[in-house]
Amino acid sequence: MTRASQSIRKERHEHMLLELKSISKRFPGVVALNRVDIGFEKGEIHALVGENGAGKSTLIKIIGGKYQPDEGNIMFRGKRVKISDPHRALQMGIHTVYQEYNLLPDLTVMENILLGYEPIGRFRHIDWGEASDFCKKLMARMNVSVNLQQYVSELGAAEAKIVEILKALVTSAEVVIMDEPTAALPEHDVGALFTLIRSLKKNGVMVIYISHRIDEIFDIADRVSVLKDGNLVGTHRVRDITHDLLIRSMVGRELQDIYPQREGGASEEVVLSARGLTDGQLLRDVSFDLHGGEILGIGGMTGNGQREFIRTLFGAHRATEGQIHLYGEPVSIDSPHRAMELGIGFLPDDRRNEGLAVTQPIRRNIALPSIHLRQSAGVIRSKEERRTVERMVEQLGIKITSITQNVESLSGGNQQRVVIAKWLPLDPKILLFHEPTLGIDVGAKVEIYRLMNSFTSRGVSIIMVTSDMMELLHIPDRILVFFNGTVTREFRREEASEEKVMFAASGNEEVDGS
Amino acid sequence: MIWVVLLVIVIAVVVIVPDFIHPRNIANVLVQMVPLGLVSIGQTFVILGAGIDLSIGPQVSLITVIASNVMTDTPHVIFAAVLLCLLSGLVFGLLNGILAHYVNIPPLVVTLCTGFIFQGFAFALHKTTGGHIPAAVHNVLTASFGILSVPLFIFLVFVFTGLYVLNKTRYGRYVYALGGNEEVLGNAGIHTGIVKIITYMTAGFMASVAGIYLAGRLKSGGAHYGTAFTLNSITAVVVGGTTLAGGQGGLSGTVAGGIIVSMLNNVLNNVSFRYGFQSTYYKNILTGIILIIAMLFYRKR
Amino acid sequence: MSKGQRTLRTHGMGSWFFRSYGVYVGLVLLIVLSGVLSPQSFNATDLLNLGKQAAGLGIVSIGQTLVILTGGIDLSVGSVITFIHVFSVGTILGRPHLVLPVSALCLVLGLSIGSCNGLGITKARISPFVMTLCMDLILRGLYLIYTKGQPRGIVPDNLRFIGRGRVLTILPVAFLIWLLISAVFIFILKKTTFGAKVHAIGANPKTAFLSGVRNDRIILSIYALTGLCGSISALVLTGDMGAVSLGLGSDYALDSIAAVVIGGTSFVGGIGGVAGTVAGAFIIKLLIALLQKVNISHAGRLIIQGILILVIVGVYSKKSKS
Repeated sequence: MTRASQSIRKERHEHMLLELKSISKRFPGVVALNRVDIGFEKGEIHALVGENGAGKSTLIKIIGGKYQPDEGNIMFRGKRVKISDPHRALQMGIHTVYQEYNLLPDLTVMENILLGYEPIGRFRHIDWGEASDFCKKLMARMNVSVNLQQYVSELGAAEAKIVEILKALVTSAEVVIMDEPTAALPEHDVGALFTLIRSLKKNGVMVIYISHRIDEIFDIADRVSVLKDGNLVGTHRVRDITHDLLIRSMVGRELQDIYPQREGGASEEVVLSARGLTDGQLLRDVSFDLHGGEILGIGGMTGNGQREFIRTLFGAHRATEGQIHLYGEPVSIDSPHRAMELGIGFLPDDRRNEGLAVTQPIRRNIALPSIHLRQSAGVIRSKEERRTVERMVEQLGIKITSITQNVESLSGGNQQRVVIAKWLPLDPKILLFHEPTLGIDVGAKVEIYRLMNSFTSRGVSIIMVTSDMMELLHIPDRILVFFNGTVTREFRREEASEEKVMFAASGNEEVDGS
Repeated sequence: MIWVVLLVIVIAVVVIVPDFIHPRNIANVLVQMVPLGLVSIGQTFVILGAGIDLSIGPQVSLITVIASNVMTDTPHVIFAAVLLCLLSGLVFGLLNGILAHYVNIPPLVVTLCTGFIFQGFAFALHKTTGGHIPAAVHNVLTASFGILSVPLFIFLVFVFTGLYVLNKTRYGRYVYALGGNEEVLGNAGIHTGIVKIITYMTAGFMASVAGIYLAGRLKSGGAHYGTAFTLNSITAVVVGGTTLAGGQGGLSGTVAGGIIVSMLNNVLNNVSFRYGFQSTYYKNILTGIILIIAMLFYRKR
Repeated sequence: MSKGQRTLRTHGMGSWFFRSYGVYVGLVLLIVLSGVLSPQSFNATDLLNLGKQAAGLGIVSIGQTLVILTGGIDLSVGSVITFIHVFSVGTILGRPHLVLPVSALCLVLGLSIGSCNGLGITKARISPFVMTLCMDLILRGLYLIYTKGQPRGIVPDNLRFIGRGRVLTILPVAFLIWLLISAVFIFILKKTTFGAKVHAIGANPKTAFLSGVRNDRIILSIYALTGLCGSISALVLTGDMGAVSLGLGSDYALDSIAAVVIGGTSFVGGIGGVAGTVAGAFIIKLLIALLQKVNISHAGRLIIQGILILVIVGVYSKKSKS
């Protein structure tokens, strides 16, 4: 090696705040990371992408001190270090903001931010004055503003995430790792969050950012590393790579393949309709028609009544006024039980807490909604149940070792398939999806879309509420945009565009000509 | 707020039972309320931290038994006995706390069992004579000046200390956080076990204070003296607005709740005496109804 | 964190084994121990006798199992027993022809009391702890008022037969009733749609609701059934005791919770079952009998009971090494 190349090498290393060299990590039965080499530069925003199971989560847990690597070294500021536990990581200035909710809803924003670090005065009492000053300075530095006195339970998801990051910044930070910070946020709410992240960069903090949303990566990151099956596929400067290339290296597929062609079209028949749905709070005169074999998309900023709307159709929310018609006949849907009797199925956005019972085996989860179909005088016909469940597993391609396995261990995509499997034995005519692919990696998303297609080609009608703009524009046949509890505009897929949807989502109703 | 309810109840009571407002009766009510109030302070800490202490009644009983067994008329011994009781309360609470946190059992079951254990010891050490409490102790603990009295003073001291700790100190925040979401508190680097254990030790300490007072007032110790406190302290806490799930509520509510419970019991006694029926039969029903009404009232939450 | 996630985290897989089978092992050990300590009573008659004595606790614990399985609790069972007990004796007043109709009435009463609990919990949204606590207090007041502190009445022979009688010379009727009811409920929980729904509600009530389960109906019926179990227990115990007493039901609330918990059913909901509770009730009664034989005082019994339950449940709840 020449002296020139040596010095170039040395220079590059000096930029490196954190380096992972040949890191490997194994768990029983699976290699999570295989000799991964990544360098993180000081003050950069470095994105980590990859499908579920690619190893991203393991990697950041190693950096955060929760796991120890089986092989390899970690270099921090040029020196070899051992990040033995989360405390040590914090001492080194490495903060991790995980995906799971980490705030106390009954306490105020300020109390949450300073939890564990409250400044105390002379009589061991908390000096809220000093606390308030500190928080205000922190927020100013980060270019964000949250109401310090507000209770966290009243915050929206985006603001809550900002509070979580502020929490992580109370003690000095060199590295802030964010695991899917936008996963629970609708696409349009990320503005303030990105401002915060850019402020971090301005303050010299290095950010490691895991996300499924490719658009965001191109928006905010400097460099991106792609992991696949525990291996590092490559690290690129974001300006040196394209959207398509990035997805291809993650998944082995082109962008257009992600959104399959819609097969067939909707029929003329109106299967489900509503007029004037109102609940006195978030729903305000909603009317719609759903045709046979159609996929109807519901868009708009989250929190404008979409959730209440779809749950009203399933009897999980009460509308005070309005009328729902099923196949032309007026119906009253006052409970999920009733909705199911009418042939409607529902997949909630919170899969783990509302769609599944994670402590119960897959068999029980899948069998529950249709349990009354396989009983004689209340006694379950066990063999028939087993056969039905196995048939569902095969039909939907759920990857499991046995139907007695617990649901907890499955990936997001597989879990969603279990939720879908719950409804099929009932042969529903209408399926309501709330955020069908939230938290599901690209590869599994395609499968879900394919399934939707196969359902509609069999005559099932689908309503899907989604905050994923790409999904909204590519999958449904028609789109209804919600604003302030009512439908502001309706589009057919051919005439919809991102701008038009955003325009309608901000409250602008039908204008002549557009 | 519960204090408004209290005011309404007081007005209603004064209208129905004019005797109530008699200073002697009010002094009586306030004094009767003290042991329950003391115990309820401790129970508030525990319940705020999403726990519950079903052993607090037996603890009180056991302390009265210990006190009456150990005390003689010698001042040194009295002092040592008081110290022993306070220490015992702390140890009982320590036991509860360690079990509740480190052994993975719900606090309901833990304190149920320790309650059995403490009650057993209370029976074992109980003397049929009731033990001995020096006259001096009795006199000091029951001294009063009109409506004010030593027990009331002691109670107020603890109330204000409790209010300060819960509302103004770091530890107080952590108790609320513990009840809100223990894991989040742990993620912030706080040792949740210590927070929890101290809530139970606070309950134990308050139980021992109540026990010492009770023994002094009744001039004896008895294995049954504390039994009613478990349920009544929980009632006071719930009526005062602290939810059983923890994380919400507070001490001032409990004090109001305790006053309501004591007051209504006092009214019941008066009324039953006047109209000639056995109040004990109806006391239970009364407590039950109070609880239901309180729950319905707070259902809006 | 959802309740389901908490369950898996708090219990883990390592304790599953203890929780599922530990109680039976414990029961066998205890029986062996009692045989060692008093060999003269280690025979079929005495063991069956134990079954008779445990029947009252066992029957009411079945209801408690259902309740705890769905994440609730019933603190009123003790006073339900006492109430039904004094009411039945006070109404029958020694007249044998009234036994059947009054017993039927008592069963209806038990169902109604339980339904009140259920309504308070499902309609008024009062937490089970508070609701059943209040019911307990109200019932206590009611039976005190009814008896004015002095219960009266004699138990006629046909009622005594249920409590004390034997079939085929050695099999106690009470024991048989208990085993029968247990078998019925084990079957219901494992093999019927109702049972599956009960487990589903315990595991995750929101998911169950969104899967078409009518949570409120099921929970209401569970508390009603618990009330029914309480009244059956009361009749059996009345028959066994042959007299009337205000203290009959006093320990049963806590003891039934202990039996359920020792039997392996978890408070977090969704895990456990009736079979374990049967063994749990046995263990409790056997323990009390053993302690009496070894001449331990009431005080000592309480202490040992407390320590034992703690140890047993602690073993069940041990986190597996992750």
